Amino acid sequence: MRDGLGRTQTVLVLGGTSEIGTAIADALRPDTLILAGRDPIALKEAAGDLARPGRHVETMCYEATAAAATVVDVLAAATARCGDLDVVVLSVGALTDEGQLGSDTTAVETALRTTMLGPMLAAHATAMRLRDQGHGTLVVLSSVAAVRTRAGLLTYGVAKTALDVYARRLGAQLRGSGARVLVVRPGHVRTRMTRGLPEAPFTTTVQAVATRVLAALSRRTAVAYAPAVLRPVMAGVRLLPPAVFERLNAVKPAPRITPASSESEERTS
Amino acid sequence: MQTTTVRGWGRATSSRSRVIGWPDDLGPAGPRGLIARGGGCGYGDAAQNAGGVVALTAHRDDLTELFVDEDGTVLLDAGTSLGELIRSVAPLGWTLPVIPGTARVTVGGAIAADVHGKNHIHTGSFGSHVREMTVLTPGQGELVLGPQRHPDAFRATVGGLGLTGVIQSARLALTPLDSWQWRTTDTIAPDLDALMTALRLAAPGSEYAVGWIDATRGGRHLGGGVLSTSRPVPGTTPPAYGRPSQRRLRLPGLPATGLGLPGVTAVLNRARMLAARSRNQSFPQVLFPLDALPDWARLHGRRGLIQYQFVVPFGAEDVLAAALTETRRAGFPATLAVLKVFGASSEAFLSFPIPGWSLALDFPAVADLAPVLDALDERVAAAGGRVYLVKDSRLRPGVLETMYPDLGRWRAERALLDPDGVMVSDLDRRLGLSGGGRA
Ligand SMILES: Cc1cc2nc3c(=O)[nH]c(=O)nc-3n(C[C@H](O)[C@H](O)[C@H](O)COP(=O)(O)OP(=O)(O)OC[C@H]3O[C@@H](n4cnc5c(N)ncnc54)[C@H](O)[C@@H]3O)c2cc1C
Ligand SMILES: NC(=O)c1ccc[n+]([C@@H]2O[C@H](COP(=O)([O-])OP(=O)(O)OC[C@H]3O[C@@H](n4cnc5c(N)ncnc54)[C@H](OP(=O)(O)O)[C@@H]3O)[C@@H](O)[C@H]2O)c1
Repeated sequence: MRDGLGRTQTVLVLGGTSEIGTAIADALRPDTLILAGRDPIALKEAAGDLARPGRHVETMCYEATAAAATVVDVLAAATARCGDLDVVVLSVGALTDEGQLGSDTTAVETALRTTMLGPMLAAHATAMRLRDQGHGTLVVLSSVAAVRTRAGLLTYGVAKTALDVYARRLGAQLRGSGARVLVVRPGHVRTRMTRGLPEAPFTTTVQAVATRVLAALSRRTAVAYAPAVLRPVMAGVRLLPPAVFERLNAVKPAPRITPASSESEERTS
Repeated sequence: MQTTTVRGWGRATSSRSRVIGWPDDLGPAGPRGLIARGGGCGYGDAAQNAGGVVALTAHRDDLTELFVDEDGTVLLDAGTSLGELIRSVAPLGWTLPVIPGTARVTVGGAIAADVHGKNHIHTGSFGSHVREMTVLTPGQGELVLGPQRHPDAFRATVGGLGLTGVIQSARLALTPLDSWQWRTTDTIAPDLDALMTALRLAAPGSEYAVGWIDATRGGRHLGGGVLSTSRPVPGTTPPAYGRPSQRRLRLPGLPATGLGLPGVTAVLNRARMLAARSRNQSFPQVLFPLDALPDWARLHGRRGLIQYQFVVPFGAEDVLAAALTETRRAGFPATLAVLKVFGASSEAFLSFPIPGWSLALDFPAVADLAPVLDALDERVAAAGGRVYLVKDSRLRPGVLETMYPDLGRWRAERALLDPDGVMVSDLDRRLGLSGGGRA
């Protein structure tokens, strides 16, 4: 249970090796931290890094591309072992550029399962559990790519858009239940996910993202940008005509394979 | 499912629950269990149950049929408020031996927290005056418990924070009320030593004795404040039964941080010091000073208030000084600091009072207090003391067993009365009180 001073007792990270996810979890300073992920060795390592005096860290197996029942079971097992979940951080995802995916439809499928379907199912299962608990917060790692998707990151952007819309609607559904959803839209964050990529304007760090999330949690915010300046920036970017938007992105070193399509994009609501 | 936000009295804790009227609306409790809620005067999350059922037991009392037995006992519904009870038995020349600091507490809540008054050294705690009570337990149905009847279940339910079942009614022993008017004498004490000495000397000879500390002061004046003692003025009778008009103090609106604002408390405290004097007060004025304040919790700002009440045995006075010093040094002098002296402890497993000093400190619920109070917990526990659970909203599970050495016995008894853990509260979840959750 969250206590009277706003302290979080138990945090679960789905994508327990994620640099952003674990930074958020660590900043919440929970007494109990559960890391769920697919790579047991990497999880153990992350657990070691996050060990603090008086903190209990556990690891659990979670594969985002598996059947929906998997994540339902993960949540049930985490609760059975550690009690109510105060915060669940959903940080599973993989950055895929269209150049990489190329003509491999199976790769597109994997990308969508990893970054869209898996996280959406996890968001649903978590929302239901938190609703029944009568308290708790689901933190969903979306992205600015969900606000405006560029051609070079089409699959990733569409996946994040779907997740973003879905998570916000879940949050609306939870209103009055005691549970809530916070959707986080980071810009470019320096992690292994973006290593080697050219840095975008307003590039930030995992610590800064964690600080933003903590601030958003202490208010009733439903969507938080990290850094905060991206809210007005993205509001502007959304209004750009597609041609201008793509040209802006093209200023940066070009991706390996230039995508052919430049279809006009739909805005997310 | 229709849910409602249920808060602690301090407004710092809250969660959503299905709130039902007890016993009329009772249905299956469901997977998140049920907890009874009386007057809602617990400061923290003891009477909250996130996602589960909160059963309201308090009711608008009709005590006109009240009957005091020849042996000075009275049979009461657990939802009766102590204020109403005191008012209705006073004209008959009776009162309660143990009265907490607010009139809104119910009989059930007073038993479930085994509450104490400003006269603990004379009368002990509330549970010691319960002759018998009827409790609906999930495991064994309706039970009649008393000091001699199922004594272990009795000792688990008194102070059991509602986690053994719902108390439905109780037979309480009353004590003669000498007079309605009381003479309260204030004595200024320059520092903590002086206040403790004065309190310890005065308590045996006064019906009620309590120390009030100006926690904004440090150094030489650390722990200085006012000792208030009250004695009955013989021959005064209570007003005819009716709702006394209690004048409410009007305070100007405060900014969001309220009493958290530096300086505000200091000014109020200075005023309190200057007002120290002897005066005649009615019985409720003596007992319920905070009830005259409009919403003390809200004055602490948006995040509400937490209270840190602990007791340490005689000899561990340094912990009292440390509590005042450390919170002040951290920038959070208590907005209200009340010192009491306790006598012998009761037999109830989770009862709070032990012989020694009790200090209750109010603070705005700010996160930065957490490490300061965590460190104090360790000192309190190491000194053989404990934190008062019904007022708590931030203790951590680790220190619980040291603070409450009879916890194991309470758990064993609770396992018999409620084997499936139907009775559950947010406090229970947070502290793993009944042993659920991670060991
Ligand atoms: C201004 C103020 C001054 C106070 N002063 C004192 C004091 O001097 N001394 C002291 O000891 N305490 C004091 N208290 C605390 C108060 O006495 C306790 O919190 C008491 O338990 C509140 O009773 P309630 O009826 O409001 O119960 P609630 O706050 O509604 O519930 C408190 C606990 O009692 C349980 N409970 C309530 N009814 C039942 C029932 N029928 N069956 C089973 N369990 C039940 C609840 O489950 C919960 O665990 C004070 C509180 C306030 C707000
Ligand atoms: N970094 C950025 O610039 C940025 C910007 C905006 C949004 N985001 C989003 O923030 C989140 C966290 O990113 P990050 O920067 O912290 O990167 P990261 O460290 O690579 O985290 C991604 C996490 O997803 C996990 N994962 C991937 N596929 C999985 C699968 N099939 N099953 C289970 N877990 C799987 C990874 O586990 P493994 O360790 O096993 O691979 C890893 O824990 C992602 O959703 C990302 O899209 C990041």
